[in-house]
Amino acid sequence: MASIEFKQICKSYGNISVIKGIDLEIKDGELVVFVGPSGCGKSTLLRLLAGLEEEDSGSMYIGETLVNSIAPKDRNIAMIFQNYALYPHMTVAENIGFGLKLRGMNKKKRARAVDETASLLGLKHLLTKQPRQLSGGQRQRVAMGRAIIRNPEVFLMDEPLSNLDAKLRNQMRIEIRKLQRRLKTTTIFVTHDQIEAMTLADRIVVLNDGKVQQVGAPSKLYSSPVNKFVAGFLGSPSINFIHARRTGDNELTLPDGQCVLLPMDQAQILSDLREVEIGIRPEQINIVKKSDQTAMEKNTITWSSSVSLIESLGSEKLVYSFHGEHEVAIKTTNSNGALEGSNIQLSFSMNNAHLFALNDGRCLSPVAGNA
Amino acid sequence: MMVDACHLWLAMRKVKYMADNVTARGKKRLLKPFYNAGYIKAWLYLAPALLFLILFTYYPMVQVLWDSFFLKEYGAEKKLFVAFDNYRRLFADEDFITAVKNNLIYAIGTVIPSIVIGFGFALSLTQSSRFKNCIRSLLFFPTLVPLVAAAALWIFIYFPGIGLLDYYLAKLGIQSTDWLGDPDIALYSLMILTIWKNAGFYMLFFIAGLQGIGEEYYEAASLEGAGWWQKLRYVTLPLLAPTSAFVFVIALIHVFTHVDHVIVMTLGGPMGSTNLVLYYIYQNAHEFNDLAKATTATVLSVMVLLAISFFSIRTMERGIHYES
Amino acid sequence: MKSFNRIKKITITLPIAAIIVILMIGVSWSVAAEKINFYFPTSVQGPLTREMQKMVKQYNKMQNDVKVVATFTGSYEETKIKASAAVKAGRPPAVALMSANFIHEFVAEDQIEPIEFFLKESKQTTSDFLSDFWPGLHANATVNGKLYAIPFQNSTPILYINADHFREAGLDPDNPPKNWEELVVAGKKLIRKEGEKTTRYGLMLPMQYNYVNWVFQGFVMSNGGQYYNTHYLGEVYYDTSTTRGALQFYSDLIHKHGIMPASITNSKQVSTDFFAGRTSMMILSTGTLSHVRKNAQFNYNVGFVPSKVRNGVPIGGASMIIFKGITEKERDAAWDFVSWLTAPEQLGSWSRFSGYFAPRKSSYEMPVMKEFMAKNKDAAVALDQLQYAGPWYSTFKTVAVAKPIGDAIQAVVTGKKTVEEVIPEAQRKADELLKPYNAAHSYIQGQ
Repeated sequence: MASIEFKQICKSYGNISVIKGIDLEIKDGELVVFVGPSGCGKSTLLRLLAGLEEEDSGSMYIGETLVNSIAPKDRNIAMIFQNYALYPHMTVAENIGFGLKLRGMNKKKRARAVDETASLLGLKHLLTKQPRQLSGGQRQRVAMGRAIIRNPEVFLMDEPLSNLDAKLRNQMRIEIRKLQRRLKTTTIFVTHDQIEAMTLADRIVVLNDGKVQQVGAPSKLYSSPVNKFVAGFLGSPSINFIHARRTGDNELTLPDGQCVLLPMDQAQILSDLREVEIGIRPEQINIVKKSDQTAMEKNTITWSSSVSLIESLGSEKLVYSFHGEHEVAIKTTNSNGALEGSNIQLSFSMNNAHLFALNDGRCLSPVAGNA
Repeated sequence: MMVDACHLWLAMRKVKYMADNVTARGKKRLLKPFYNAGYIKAWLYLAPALLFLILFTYYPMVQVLWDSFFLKEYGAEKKLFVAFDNYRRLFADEDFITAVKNNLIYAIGTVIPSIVIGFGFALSLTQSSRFKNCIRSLLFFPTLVPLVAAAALWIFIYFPGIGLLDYYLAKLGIQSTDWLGDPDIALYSLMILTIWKNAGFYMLFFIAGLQGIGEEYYEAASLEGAGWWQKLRYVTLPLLAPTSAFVFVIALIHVFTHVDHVIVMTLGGPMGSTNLVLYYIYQNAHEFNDLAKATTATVLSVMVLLAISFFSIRTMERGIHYES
Repeated sequence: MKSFNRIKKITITLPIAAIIVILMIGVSWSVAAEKINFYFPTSVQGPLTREMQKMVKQYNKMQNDVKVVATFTGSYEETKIKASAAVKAGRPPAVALMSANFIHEFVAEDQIEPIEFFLKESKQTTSDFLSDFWPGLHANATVNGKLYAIPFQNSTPILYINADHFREAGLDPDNPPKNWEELVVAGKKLIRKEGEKTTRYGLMLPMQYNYVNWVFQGFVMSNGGQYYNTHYLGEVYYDTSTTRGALQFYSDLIHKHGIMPASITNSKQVSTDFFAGRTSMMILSTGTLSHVRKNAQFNYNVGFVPSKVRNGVPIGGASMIIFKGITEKERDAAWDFVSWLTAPEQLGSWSRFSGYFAPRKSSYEMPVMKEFMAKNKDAAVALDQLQYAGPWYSTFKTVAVAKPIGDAIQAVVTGKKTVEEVIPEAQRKADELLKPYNAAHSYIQGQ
């Protein structure tokens, strides 16, 4: 078990730079999820740590050891691949025990270790089977078995659940979480699925364009994204953005002409920006009855629009509507009788909104309500 | 011809699969296969190819087998039934025994080296780059040259004293060698030509096979602690087994069905040292006027080739299991 | 609908078929010439093939009754195989140029017409007809006293020497070695060595199957031997003093005197080494004369194959045969073509081009030929040697019977076995092969 540290790691393929100077520390025993859209460099970063790719510059530490020039097999890590990379010509037992065999463990000891691992994962009855005879979930488990049997310092998981169907994926996610808690092995989990990231991670690392966007606990990243990208990437449905022009020191004007006054401390952060975007989570928009208008607070934005689509999630509903020309999504338990095609009254409080600079997307303020 | 037989066998297996599928879908498994619509359809698809196979492959095979029990002495009027006398004559013929021995040495000495070399080439040339593609084409080139032309070319390479080989060996201070004229060396000279000609061909199969092995198998092996040799031993070789089996059979069949270079380079000499079974058959049929002996030797080689073919299909079918 | 389609089909196909039939009739009327197939081999591809095609074209142009389609069929052996295959398929060629020692095989299988058949029509007797051909050629063209083939191109082994090497070694290039003793003396003088390695041999012979037998037959004849029974197809004389002697002479040339290399050199290697000055003498066919004329970058000379007891060489070459199983018209056309091709003029011109000697004496009476012979002294030597020429070995299963002695020679040449070891073995194998023929044809004690 060990901590991990990336220092100024860079990697490019030809002219294309995929990792642009990453600094990151992972604590011993932590489960960290790398998340980001495809091409963001998350897998590359993982493979750099595994030693499957060679970094251009920077250094990586596992524990106290600088691992840059250490061969993959000597880094004491185990990796689970997207398609598991199980050997089709070996039985389950041989697959699980492969690493031990390569490391010269004798047959008897190996068999015992394989047995233990298999019972831990509920694979005991499958030991003599070949991978092609197994279901997707069982294969996944064999891959995990092969990883944990060596008791490595670090687990690396490269989108290990993406080949499973939705139900099995949830189940395996929980299993991985439980297993990691029990083994307390430092784990890096790569995914492009933000739900997986939110539910699994001790800390999430959001990557985009070869850079770390933000690192933190899932709830922290959700409530306090540092930029428009993080805000947009986490949460489903995505956060809604509404464009706004600054028309006074602390006055913002929305495309529909509505003005809203910010508290003076927020206005200060705006400094000399002329244009911003207001980010508001779907669950922070309310559908209000027309009669409730009078009850509105001062920094509340209210507008009416038509409903284009309603999706029911059971206890909650997703309502799709518009602000001006932009579609907005609303997640609510109380749709106040909204129907597809009908006109509804929408409102949100600026206390729940995030302000982002239009030019570089950075978040301008912690939201007043959460601050 | 043997390859055709393989195809037919595979086709018949397919008929069975097709018919099984059709029955499964129609849930009429209890119906006799003969009346089964799927079966009839499948056989109809197969009919044209089967007809030609029977006409041009199986009928001649049966005919040859039949003929091997008769003897029409050269110049005689009548064909006589002699039972197994042709077989007795064949095994009493020192030339035939020599040809079989030569063919065995030739088989072992060409199949294994050309496969190993082809595999080696493939291993070092799997990743493509412009340079490697170029080398690959160069190595594949001998395959494109007809064996007759290759043999004609190698006559000059082997030319004692002034041939390419002796020319360069002389620079190393090695005396001129009579590559095709020395009965102790001639067969090995032909073997080198064969290896030169075939290794590139087998390389191509191995490259295709290697490219079919996912990179992650190697990456997983690296992380599990495998070195170069262990990756070769535990990942590459087992996963390449179906390809290897296929190449092995192709190579074996090659050994028994190609003698152009013998005809061009040595005529089986000196002293019968380069005579191979197929050339022996050719000689007896066309030059020695002993058709019965040629026929009998043909029956035996067809049997050997059939055995190889069926063995090959077995291994290839076993290989299919790896793909899942 | 279906029947309508059928009618439509018929209405369309009928006129087309009619047109085709009319065209075909028209074509066959307009070309009234009898079309016949002619298979020919050449020992040297390229120029000889082209020259043959040229002659056939000339024949086709000068008359309108016969159109010959000439097909180049490869080597002598390949031509035999292809012709046999065509006969078996029921579509024999009308005419073929066939290796002279294979003729009797076609006779045995009853596949070719005796030439008498045609001579009778032109009221010629066989002996009159044959009197114009060199006597040495008669045997190979005749089976059991009947003429089956007309010689077309012929050759004998001949000794080629590098005159420059002779001069340099103090030998007279105008007097090539006449007998075996002189051959050994000259050979020893001509050898050049660098340390242990021989850089120039005195003599080289073709040692590949078939060619090796032909040249060796010459040495056996020189040694006073017969090699095979020229009157009977079922007997070879391998285990005889004369054959043993000839083979011992080979062995001594190689292993005792070092004059020849101990390797199975094929004819191409021999000529290449001769041109490259790596051997001072070689024995090859007279058919190689024009090739040597063209390629030798030095002065060369030719001589008889050296004698021991007598001069003697076998005649090689190919003859024209006419197949059975063709129509009467085709047969007449075939005879017309063969008569033209084997007329003195054509044989002469082919001889001048190829280097083979012309089988007809009368070819050499022609002024153009006299002039050629005067200019090319080497061709005259080849012709002179003809008086000592005998027929080419030709037995029941010729090639198969030739192989044991071929193997024997190769074994002695390479030093694998001694003469004493190989000779009885060769005889035993040959006798085994000849057994069926003897059982069928001659009265043998114990049967």
